[in-house]
Amino acid sequence: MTTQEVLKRLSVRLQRSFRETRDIYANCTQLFRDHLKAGNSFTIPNWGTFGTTRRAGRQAYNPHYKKTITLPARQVVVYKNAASLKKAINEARHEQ
Amino acid sequence: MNNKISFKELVRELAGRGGISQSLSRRFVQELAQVVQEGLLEDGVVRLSGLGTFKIKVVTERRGRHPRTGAPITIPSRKKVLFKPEKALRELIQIALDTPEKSIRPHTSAPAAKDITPPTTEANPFDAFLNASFIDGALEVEQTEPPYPAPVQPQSQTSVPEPPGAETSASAKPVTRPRRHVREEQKNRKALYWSIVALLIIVLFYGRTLLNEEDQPEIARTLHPEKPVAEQVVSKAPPRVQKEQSKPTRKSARRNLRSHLTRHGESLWRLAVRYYDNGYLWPLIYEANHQKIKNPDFLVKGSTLVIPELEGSVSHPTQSDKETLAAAHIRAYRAYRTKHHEEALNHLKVATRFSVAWIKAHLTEIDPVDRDQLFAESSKFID
Repeated sequence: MTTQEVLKRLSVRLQRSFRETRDIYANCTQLFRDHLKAGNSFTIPNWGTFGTTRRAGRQAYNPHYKKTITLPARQVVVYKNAASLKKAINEARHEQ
Repeated sequence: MNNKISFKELVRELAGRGGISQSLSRRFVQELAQVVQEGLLEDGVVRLSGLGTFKIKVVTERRGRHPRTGAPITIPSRKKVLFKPEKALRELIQIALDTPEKSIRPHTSAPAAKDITPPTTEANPFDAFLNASFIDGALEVEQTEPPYPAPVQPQSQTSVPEPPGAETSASAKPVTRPRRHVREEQKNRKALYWSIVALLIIVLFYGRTLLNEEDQPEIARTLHPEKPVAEQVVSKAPPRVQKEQSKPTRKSARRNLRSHLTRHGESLWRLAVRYYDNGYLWPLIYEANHQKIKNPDFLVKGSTLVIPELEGSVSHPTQSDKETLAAAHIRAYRAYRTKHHEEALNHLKVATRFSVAWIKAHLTEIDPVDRDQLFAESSKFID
């Protein structure tokens, strides 16, 4: 499913124009990004928890060049499913 | 760092940014979660631009051991939702790590000192705003300098030839890392200061020469009659009046056009540059023609716009000028509120510099969230 399809469904459900939905969506993702950038985490019911965490730098080995390389520390986005989402997805499997 | 934002807070902020009600923004986020779930069930993958891709992954059955009894068990196959952030987001987060960490809430974040050119703010307040950030930076450096005196530098040089492994372990230590950041920060700041100082000098110099140009005919007029000194002192008052009278006429002679037919490729910024020699004054044109201009970023070809004139000048606006400028920036704020929130907030700040009284009278036009923020930031509203 693409963003366009998601927006179409949203605009029908919220009874707003597509444009308006798209604007809200842009604000919404911008807000998420800003919070993630600031290192904040947030939970959206029935969806999951978003946050960021630090991956420490480490030594790695490149088998092709037979060299150890240093991987720098990274900041990454973490996402954890909401229990209800996990449940919904796994129950759908049983139905099939 | 790592603040947990409650759902309620998130909804409130979204409402503030979008200029929409909280109930709508709450419903929006809830429905978005719902649609994502549906999408996952239907297609197994949902791509959301601006965030990333959500995907179902099937974890196959595997054998494991019961954690308490140690008895071998089979863990059944199940499905998992994976989230892969899009590249831009990954880079954004990475940049957040590389730049010094400040626990700024994104909503209240003052524009970073780095983005030197927010395109649509008025010149003088904009300079003042630059000055402000300049001073902030200077203070911060002064504060950070004492804990890390000069001897730090040779220490870092000795650490360079160490093997890469040792280097990373050193960088992982919380003590050395901030130092490197501070030093980089100082370097960046210094470069920034010099560029800002150079810019200010250029602006001042330019302003001077402009003023001189305007004064010259005046000086010439007073000098030409070659009156005795005493008489000249007496006659000082009348020429000043004359000057004020002659100013608009001269202006209108030079820029005869008081209305403008828009052509292909024109923008409000360009019109402001053309008629006021100052692009930052574009909200004035926008305010005067707001019924015709739907979107300030886009002018329709072939419409006739009114080009308003200031009673005073940009550097010395009269009271009514200030009010129109404030009104113009409030209108720009409203236009950008949903599209580009930071830009909108900049306009709001600029508006406060012109006329606080006007804003107080029109508080209803400002979104409650932004209004609270404005109150919190500006001491002018305390009384």
